[in-house]
Order: sequence, then structure tokens, then C-alpha cells
Amino acid sequence: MIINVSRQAFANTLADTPVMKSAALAIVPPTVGRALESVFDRSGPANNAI
Amino acid sequence: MNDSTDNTTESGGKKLQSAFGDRGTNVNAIAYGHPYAEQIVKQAKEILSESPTGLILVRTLNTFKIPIHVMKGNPREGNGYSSEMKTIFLQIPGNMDKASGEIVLNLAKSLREADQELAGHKAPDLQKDLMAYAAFMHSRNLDCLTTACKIVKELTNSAYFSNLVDTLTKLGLNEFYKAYTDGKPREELYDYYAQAHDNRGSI
Repeated sequence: MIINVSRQAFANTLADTPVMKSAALAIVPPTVGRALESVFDRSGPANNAI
Repeated sequence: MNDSTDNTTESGGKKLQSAFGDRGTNVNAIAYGHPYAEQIVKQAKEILSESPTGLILVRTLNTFKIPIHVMKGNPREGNGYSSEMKTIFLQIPGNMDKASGEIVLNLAKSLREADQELAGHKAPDLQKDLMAYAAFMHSRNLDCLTTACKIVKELTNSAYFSNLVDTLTKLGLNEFYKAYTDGKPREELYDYYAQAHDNRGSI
């Protein structure tokens, strides 16, 4: 991970664990390979396999 | 021959090149380049490709032609995908010529970061809201770490498994890996992530 903020400032965000945990878990990343699937989605159903 | 794509030395040996995009630039001539970048990245990609999840990420890397920039340095510092530069950065000790478990795991996490970004999952502006930015980054770290553990688990029957598990232990992530393999929910994995982050100062 490339962080443009001091390590300590970033680490401090974990101090308020329940709030940060709740906020972090509310963010759901896309499934693995979604970016790749989107390429095939655009190129048509014939190429829809990874 | 002075062609910049000539890949052989005067003695007939193969020149070392960086992983992508330099059309044959001798990375030894770049102060921060790594002399074995190409072979290390190739090995790491081959190892990842033996797991179904790793293979998807390597295909993503190839499809989107994501550059990997390997620098001589501490592998625990400054690895990952830079959304500004659309490039994966890896730091590897200058005397290393093989893909260690740490490099494989760093590449796995970096590839997942790139995969997320390419799927439209982008970090909010740090300058506007540190907490929103941090929440995104912790969420992304948790997911990247989980993905790395998934890959390690998928490599259980491979020759690399014990090395990768030993590396997770060395990195202080053995408890996280155990929780993952025990099928703990995301809420609990976050606690292990936060603890590992506290212990190491970063992930």
C-alpha cells in the first residue's frame, strides 16, 4: 500500500476501533477479477469467460 | 548493435531488463532499479498463477498491462499499487535474485489493490477527509490480506506452501491466516488485521 500520509497518523485511525471498524466494514470491495470481467462484458457474450 | 531492443550483451549473454515497458533498458544503469527484477517478477507471477485466485490477478495484470517497478530496498517499505502512477511498486533487497515468500505475498496484495482500482473501487480524497480515506484503506488492506491468504490456502498442495506460511508467521500475520482458514467472518478478521497492524505499524 502506498500511503501519502504519515504512518503514525494513519495508524492512529485504528485507535478508535469500533468507529473505524464499522466504517471500514461498511465499504465492500468488488469481487476478485471484476475488472477483468468488465473487459469481457464490453467485448460481448462470446468472450465472457475469464 | 545499438538497437535499444537488443537483449544480448557483447559476450552473448542476456541483458537484464526491468519487468515491463522499458523496451530493453538495462536496469543496472538505473540507480534505483533492481538487477534481477525481471526474473523475480516472472517467478512470483508463476507461483501466483498456480492458484486459481492468483491466476485471475495475473491475468488482470497482463490484460491491463500494469507496469511493475522493482526497486532495491526493504520489502516491508512502500510496496503496492499507486493509483496516481498506475504502477505497482515493489521493493526487494539488491542481493536477492529469487522470488521470496514475502515478494510473492507483496505482489499478490499489490495485484489485488490494482484489481480493485480497475474495478472502480477508488480511495476518497485524503485531503478532504482523513477518516473516510483511512476507512477505505483499512477496508482495502483487509481485503488484500484476505485475498493473499486465499491464495496461500489454494497453494496448500504446492511446493511453495510451507515457505508462504512461514513468511506469514515472520510478518506477524499467522493469527490472521489461522482466522481466515478457520472461516472467521469479516468482522472478526478485521480485529486480527487491526492487531497485526498495531504490532507491525503497517500491513
